[in-house]
Amino acid sequence: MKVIGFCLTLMLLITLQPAKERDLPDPQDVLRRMVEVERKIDFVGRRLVIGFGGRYNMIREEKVINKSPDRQRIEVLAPPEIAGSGLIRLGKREWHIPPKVKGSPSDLPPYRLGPPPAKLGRSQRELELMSHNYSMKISPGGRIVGRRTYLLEITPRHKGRPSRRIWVDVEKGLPLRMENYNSEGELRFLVVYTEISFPSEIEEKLFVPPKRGVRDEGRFRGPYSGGELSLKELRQKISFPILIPKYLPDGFEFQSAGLIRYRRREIAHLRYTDGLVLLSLFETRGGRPEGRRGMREREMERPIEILGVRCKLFYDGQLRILRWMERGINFTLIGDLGETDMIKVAESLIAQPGHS
Amino acid sequence: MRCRDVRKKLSEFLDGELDERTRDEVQRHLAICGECSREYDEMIEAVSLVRNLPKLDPPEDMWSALKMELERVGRSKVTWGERLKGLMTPPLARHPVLASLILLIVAGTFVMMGWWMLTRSASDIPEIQLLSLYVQEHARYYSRQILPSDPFLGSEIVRELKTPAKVRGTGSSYELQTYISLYYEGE
Amino acid sequence: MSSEETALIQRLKQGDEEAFEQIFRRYQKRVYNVAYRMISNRETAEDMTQEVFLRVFQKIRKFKGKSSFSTWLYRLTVNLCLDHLRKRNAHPTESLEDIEEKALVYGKTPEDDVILEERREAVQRIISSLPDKLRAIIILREIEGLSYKELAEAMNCSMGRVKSLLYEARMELRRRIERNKHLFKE
Repeated sequence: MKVIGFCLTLMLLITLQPAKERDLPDPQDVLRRMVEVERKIDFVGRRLVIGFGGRYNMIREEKVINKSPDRQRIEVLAPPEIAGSGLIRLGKREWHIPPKVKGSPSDLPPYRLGPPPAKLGRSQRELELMSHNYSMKISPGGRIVGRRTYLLEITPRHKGRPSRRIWVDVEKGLPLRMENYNSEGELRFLVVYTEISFPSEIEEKLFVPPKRGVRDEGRFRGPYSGGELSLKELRQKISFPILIPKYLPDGFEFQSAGLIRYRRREIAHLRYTDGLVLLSLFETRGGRPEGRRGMREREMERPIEILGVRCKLFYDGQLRILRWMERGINFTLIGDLGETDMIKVAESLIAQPGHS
Repeated sequence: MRCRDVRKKLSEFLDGELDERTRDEVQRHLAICGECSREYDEMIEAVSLVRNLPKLDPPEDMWSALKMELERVGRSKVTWGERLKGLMTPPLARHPVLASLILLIVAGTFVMMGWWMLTRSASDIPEIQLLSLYVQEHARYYSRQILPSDPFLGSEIVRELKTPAKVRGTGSSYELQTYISLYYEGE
Repeated sequence: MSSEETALIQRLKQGDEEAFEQIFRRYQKRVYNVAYRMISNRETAEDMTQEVFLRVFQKIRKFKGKSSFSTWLYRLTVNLCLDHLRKRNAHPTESLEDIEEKALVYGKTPEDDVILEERREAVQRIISSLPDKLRAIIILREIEGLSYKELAEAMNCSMGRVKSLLYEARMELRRRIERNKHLFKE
């Protein structure tokens, strides 16, 4: 009897396991669907947006109205200091609505209300990189706002990289809850829907900006920095020789470059990515060593020495900033990477044969 | 007076800069010409909009910053001038060749310093100010990735750099725990 | 120019730092406002103000007292601003000069009335859209309240030119405001 029972259980387990796996979709498909979901479906919802900052947490509650393919209306409901503020997106145009309360405290940090609906088209390479450098796992995700979800977990294959957990609606593909973890594995950001509905009709008039008190942001402006250039194009345009790091952390590759002109300074912006992380390298010539804001600078940063050069390191729980000056050029590395990797990249720049 | 001539005088008319005769002529024309008087009213409206702009207060620490700059640059120029005077003392006057040689060297350095000061521009900004720009650019591009960065990325840093650090409270009035537990129903 | 100011300037010519500070405190708001209205960026206006006063210190010995000190100062300010604008216009699309962070920032202005602030920003935008010299004369006349004579000294031109510039500037201002009437409707 016992043996039969055991065999039955074993058979049950064997047949059940593959069936469960068969029911789960491919994580990349889920991701692809999720990226374009705002362009494909209409929904109305309320969500909590929480940033776990270094000194304090930032929380707000928003109402979201999304009409495919490119109409959005986001309204902040709480906290009261910023309630009533929000934005309306209509195609490429954006209007920012200020908060209802006049004279809101200047104590509140500035924040963005999220990027416009994404298009998958140009991110194919990013997706490829992501699947190389991160393991993506799907599992049943429980219910969020009463809806069945898949839990998509994106975890790095290399140390010192961030991760994400995203609960995606099974039926519609919309992310209902997302958790961002930094390169130290700490939770830094959380957005979760507390209400969601998928109405058949969303009125156009909801996307007409109010006549008063609205700041027209015009077209959502892309990069200010003279476009996305190749390295060759950047070298042609910029007036000083830029350095390229000889070392990049595993799985990173060059994405694009930009040239920023700011108050007669030229700044090179080199961007590298591993699919999820963005690593920025800024290079610019000259500049005053210490200015009237020097005091504040010292409070935030930690001095370290790399190959004899004095550098400054700073981490706010989300961004690691490493900067130094050498051969008359100011270098600044920004990204959510582990300290070791950042330092290695810096070393590969400092160690290059000298010229000025 | 014809409309065309009157319109050319409207600006001076507004400021009371016309002689009595011309002023009267313009006044008479405006009384009967709807077009010109409309244009005049619009000009007054435009001008008052500008006149009613508030006068902004410059930031408080400008003097200390200026003083630092001055110490680095301005004062040395003055001392050079004074040194020049000092050089014209009797002992040196007895050696006119030497005196003129020194004068030449001093004048030369003077010129170089002046040139150096002029080529330094107000746009030599300290790196720390650029940091805020870098963080914003980084966040901007990061938010265009497949999995964009969160909207708070870098906001603390940018705020630290733009405004003086103050002692802040713990932020929002919401109870974090409540919300987190309330809205996640496990499997 | 008052005798008190004459004395101050004499001391300034000797390199007296305390006199410089007094001059600075007396005129900084004026210089800053002209710079801000010309360039419409606070940070650059700060830098510009600093640069103006540094030049004052450098060039004060050249000041002969033919005009009043304030018009001499206005002239310095306007010239520096015009230079800056000329250089900036050489790289129009790639300059980040006036780009503030694309985010909602609160409590920046002391005004509680959002509508009033929006309107003022609209006026500033229109001022910024004027050609450089017209912009300068409007700011000096309507905001700083200079007389025609002072304008001639500050802009370094004849009275006749002042009159025609001011006429042109006001006409242009009027035209642009009328075109953007919707920004000012109640």
